[in-house]
Amino acid sequence: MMKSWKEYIYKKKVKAYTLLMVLIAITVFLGYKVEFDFVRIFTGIPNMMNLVKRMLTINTSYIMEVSSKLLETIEIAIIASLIGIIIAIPLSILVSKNTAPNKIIWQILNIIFAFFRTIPSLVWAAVLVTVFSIGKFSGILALSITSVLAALKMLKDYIEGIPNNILNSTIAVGASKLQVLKYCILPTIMQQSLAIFFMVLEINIRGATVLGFVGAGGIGQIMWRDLNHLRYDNLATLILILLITIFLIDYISLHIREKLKTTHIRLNNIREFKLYKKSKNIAIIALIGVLIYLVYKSIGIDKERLMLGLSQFKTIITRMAHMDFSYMPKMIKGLKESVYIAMLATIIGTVFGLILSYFASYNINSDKYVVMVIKLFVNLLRTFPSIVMAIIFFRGVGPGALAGVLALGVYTTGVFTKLYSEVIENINDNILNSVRVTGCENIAVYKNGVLPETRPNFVSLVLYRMESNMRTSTIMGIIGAGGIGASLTTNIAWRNWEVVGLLIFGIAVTVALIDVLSNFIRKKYI
Amino acid sequence: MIKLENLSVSYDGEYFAVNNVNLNIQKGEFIGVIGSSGSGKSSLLKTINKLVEPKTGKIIIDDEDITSYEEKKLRGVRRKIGMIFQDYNLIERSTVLENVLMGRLGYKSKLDTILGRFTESEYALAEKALKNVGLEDKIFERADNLSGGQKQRVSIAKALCQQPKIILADEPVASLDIQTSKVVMDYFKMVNFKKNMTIVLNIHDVNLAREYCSRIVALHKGKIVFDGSAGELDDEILERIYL
Ligand SMILES: Nc1ncnc2c1ncn2[C@@H]1O[C@H](COP(=O)(O)OP(=O)(O)OP(=O)(O)O)[C@@H](O)[C@H]1O
Ligand SMILES: [Mg+2]
Repeated sequence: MMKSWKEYIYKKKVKAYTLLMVLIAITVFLGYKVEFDFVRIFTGIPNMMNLVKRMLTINTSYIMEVSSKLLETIEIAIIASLIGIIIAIPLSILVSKNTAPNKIIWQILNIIFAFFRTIPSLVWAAVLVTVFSIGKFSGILALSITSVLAALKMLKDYIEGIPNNILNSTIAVGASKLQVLKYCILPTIMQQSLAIFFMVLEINIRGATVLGFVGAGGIGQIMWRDLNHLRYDNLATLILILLITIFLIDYISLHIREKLKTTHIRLNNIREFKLYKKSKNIAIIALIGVLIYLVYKSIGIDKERLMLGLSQFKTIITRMAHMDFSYMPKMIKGLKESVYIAMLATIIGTVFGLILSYFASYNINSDKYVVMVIKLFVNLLRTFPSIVMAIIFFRGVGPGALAGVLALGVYTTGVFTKLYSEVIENINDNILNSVRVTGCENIAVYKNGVLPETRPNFVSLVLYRMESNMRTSTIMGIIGAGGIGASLTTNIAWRNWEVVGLLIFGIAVTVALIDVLSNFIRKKYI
Repeated sequence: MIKLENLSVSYDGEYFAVNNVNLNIQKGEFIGVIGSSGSGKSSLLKTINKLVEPKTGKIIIDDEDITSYEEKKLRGVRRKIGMIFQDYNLIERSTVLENVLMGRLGYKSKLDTILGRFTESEYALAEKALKNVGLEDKIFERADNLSGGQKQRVSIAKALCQQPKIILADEPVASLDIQTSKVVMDYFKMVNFKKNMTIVLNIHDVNLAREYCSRIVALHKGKIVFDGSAGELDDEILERIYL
């Protein structure tokens, strides 16, 4: 039966308002839970501004002092990314559905990797430091583990996206499994691997700056010291250095990626072609050899220490497996707080992101300069690892969940705006024009053209941010910014491995649950 | 050359994408398979070299019953059959030459594969195949730099490089404009004529089928509803096929 249009519009309005009320209620509830306090934030602003101001007066002598640690940070990030991609490439064959030689191994590996992917690098680092002692080796190892897992996930998604017909067309010439790998899969994923290397590097450079918080090498060690000694002037300089470094690495990585897309070598005959192939193979083997040597040199751990560490690691793992369930109530309290932090940060990031995206998209905002300034600002927001950002908020609102929420919220705003404005800029012009021809304001184009058109992307972005925030919020507590991380560091420090085991398991389950929930919503609404 | 007996294919165990097909194809025939979308053309073609496993029936290639062949033996059969797809399916990041050389993979040992070795005569073969389709000047170009028509010619060169006895082509001209389609179809005709190669191609454009194919087979819901020369295919039959 046809509904009258009045009824239709009424129902639609009721639905929209109900949704809005529910969202507001959730936000208020979350705000209450993390002790959101406008007054505290407001009165904290001068202190934070002061910190930012100090950042602008650079302490050059301090830069020299920390430069070796800064280099170590970059070194850790690069080495871990290299190890990550080199190990991930062969593994990816085993975990991708369309290339896996064995379905049972495929299934088991995927479950194991999905479990380990829920553990943040800082947690790995904290545990590994107790095994292999303080220093960059633990940091490299921790970041390498998460790099392998991250690269593996990206490669797997890519390989599984290779059209069946491409595989079929190779099988159809009578190619063996090995040949399909070598001539079909490998060339197809090679360039992607490079892109993935740089993506992992961008994650790792952020990850490496905070490893020092748990003693796993890099500049974070100094940052942690300055934080504990309340040396905010030094901290400000450090943060600025980090900002510039991360910006530079992101820029270089983008530049190299663009460059590689367009380079091409001219060949004239088959002999040259063969020569080129041969030298390329030799170069690749030599490069891998050199890399392995460099990694070996840089890690700098002797065999005995390694063996000792591994045997210790075994006892730790066994103790972790005997989880101490009496800690359950405390854990649930911490996990709840982490979930609240992640949710509220996602909401904050989405709301501000929606507003900023309007100004940050070239095809909506006609003022090019505003777009450029906003884009720059947004990139600034997402440059800091949230956990470093939290330190800035400590200055304003003191340690605790609120600082965590604000830091994560700022980061989410940055990432969300960047990604969503890119989605908007990719909208087909015709769709926008079909709204524009009605002669309406730009804001109406945004509301009636852009938002409905990009709803699937929007939902998936929010969910993606939620998943990512959930992972980050579990480690916020390591520096005292609320959530489960606080219990985790204390218990690692006390070597309460039975409790640590339970906590890691709890984190994995929570993160996995959020992933499952988000996948469910994604399937339903997209 | 190709003999299909009571061949049936089903993906879900209920609906038969290919339903009890009997087909006997002689050496040197140029066959066009027509039919509406979902009628089972692709499934039929892919069953001939067992990219799709048949539910029932027999597949006989070159007097060899391959129905129950496993991977290893299949390689020997598949290298005799060149296959071409609608969306080209080249390795986009490899050069044209590398793509064409892939036609030789069925003849390569494990060691050759690991070292990536091809013989002089195989290089010569690849060059000649590219010359045949008029792409000798694109030989070191990366495949993703080519136009659609050029990509399709590369995949024909790759099939020729196999020195096959049979060519199977699944909608080889569906992604091309009419001008380029004719160029590509002319290559098929030439190969068919010069080398007496057996060619089976799926094609939804009935006019092209009539113009080029010596024999036309029409599928409807997995069943053969017409099998005869282009001249015998009248409007009444067409109406029934595209109902
Ligand atoms: N891989 C598959 N899994 C499940 N069902 C399939 C698969 N491939 C084809 N089918 C089904 O088999 C039937 C025949 O499909 P097929 O692709 O062979 O038809 P077609 O004639 O080639 O169609 P088109 O002209 O659209 O390419 C269709 O009903 C299709 O849905
Ligand atoms: Mg088809």
